[in-house]
Amino acid sequence: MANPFIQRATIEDEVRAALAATLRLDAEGIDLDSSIVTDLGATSIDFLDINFRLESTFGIRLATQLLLDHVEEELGEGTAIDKDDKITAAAASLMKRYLGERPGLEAGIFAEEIPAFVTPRVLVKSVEGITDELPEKCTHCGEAAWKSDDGKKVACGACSKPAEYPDGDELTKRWIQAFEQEHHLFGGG
Amino acid sequence: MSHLEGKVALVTGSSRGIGQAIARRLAEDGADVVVHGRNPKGPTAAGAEVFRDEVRGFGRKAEVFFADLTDKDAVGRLVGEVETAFGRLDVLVLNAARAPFKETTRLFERDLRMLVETNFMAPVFCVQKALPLLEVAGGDIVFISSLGSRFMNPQYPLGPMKAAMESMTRQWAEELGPQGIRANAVCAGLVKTDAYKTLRRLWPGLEQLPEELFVTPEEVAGVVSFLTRPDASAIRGQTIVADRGLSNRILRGP
Ligand SMILES: NC(=O)c1ccc[n+]([C@@H]2O[C@H](COP(=O)([O-])OP(=O)(O)OC[C@H]3O[C@@H](n4cnc5c(N)ncnc54)[C@H](OP(=O)(O)O)[C@@H]3O)[C@@H](O)[C@H]2O)c1
Ligand SMILES: [Zn+2]
Repeated sequence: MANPFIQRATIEDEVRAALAATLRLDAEGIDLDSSIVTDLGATSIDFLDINFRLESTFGIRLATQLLLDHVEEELGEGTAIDKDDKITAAAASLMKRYLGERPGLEAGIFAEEIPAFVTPRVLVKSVEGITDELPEKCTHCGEAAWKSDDGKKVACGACSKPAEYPDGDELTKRWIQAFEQEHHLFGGG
Repeated sequence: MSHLEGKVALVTGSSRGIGQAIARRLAEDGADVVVHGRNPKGPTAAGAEVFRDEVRGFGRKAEVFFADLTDKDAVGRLVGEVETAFGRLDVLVLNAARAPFKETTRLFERDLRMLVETNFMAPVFCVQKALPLLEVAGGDIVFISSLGSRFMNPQYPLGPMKAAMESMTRQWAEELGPQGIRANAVCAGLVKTDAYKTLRRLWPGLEQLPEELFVTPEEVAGVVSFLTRPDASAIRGQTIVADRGLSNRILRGP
């Protein structure tokens, strides 16, 4: 269910702002379909800052483990990344679904090349995937009285505690399970 | 001030963070320094070269050498480069570290190998390969540990490796003492480096800790500097905790 307080345009603006602040870029000029690594120049350490800014802005927790690590936790070590650190055919299909079709995103690339395929739009989707999980009622007092002053953070109108969303790792797991149930690519179930 | 004048220090993992602060301090103490990083093509390589030039700027000799310390042959080559470029090695600071951050029950085999190879085997390789040079110099080994060696931290499997290395430091002190080599460790509290950027996302509440509980890289470097002084000659196989008192109290109200 979509979060009634947080507009997609707000998330897009905040993703641009987080990238701009971390990478010292002009927010206006950031194309949502650019590569955060190859086009915008981010390193793996920059991703930690970008994610932290988004987490602080929206009061959420993005995934801390890589998607393919989650796959292997759910479906077994070796199912997504082979002995040479290259991604399997099943992992490539899953990554294409998650990141969108991108030239070069294929089976046999090194796992460490994957961040190069992450776009601002993927970050928007990750944030939105979490904020859309706003529970019906406050987990602290049980009231259904959400409010938001800034269109970013949601709090309970009754007890004023911040909304508790499932974290990104939990949602990633659910997403992988649903993907595998539909496609049976990893031979799991 | 210049107790390391004419001496040479190798600080592993000095391309950034605490290692860089240690290398800077030892250079200020008079040492020529070997700046070291893992990946010559990585995002920190350029910074390592800038830092090397900074050290040269204050009149010390400095070189950057890259080596993946989990590869024993690469460690051998690194020590060879040090010998060729500097002719000696007096201080070996074992600072490089890298670890997965997750519960131990969730570690993949590759995580576990990376953990042990980087944080246990690599420092042992370094000491084995550097031993001939350290013997000649009557040198010092300083290992950089963390509070994870003695306190449980969530999603921090590096802790047990640090415990093993504090024990190894005692081992080295006794085994190498007769050759005139001293070995000690510095156990640092929380330091705001790149590693902290991962930790603050994993440990809720970390960001709320008062700033005065955070140790600066320069403070860690100061303790390392002290351990290389003649003043510290009686300290052998010890781990000095430098944590601004973080571990003294079980309860720490806001
Ligand atoms: N930050 C803290 O809160 C804290 C607290 C207590 C103790 N410590 C300890 O202090 C030390 C430095 O921490 P830090 O936070 O400054 O670390 P950091 O910013 O993550 O830097 C780690 C350094 O180690 C190098 N390195 C990692 N794996 C290597 C390998 N296989 N071969 C060669 N070099 C490798 C890295 O090289 P590249 O730049 O090429 O990647 C980098 O120079 C570590 O031993 C850490 O456990 C840290
Ligand atoms: Zn409430």
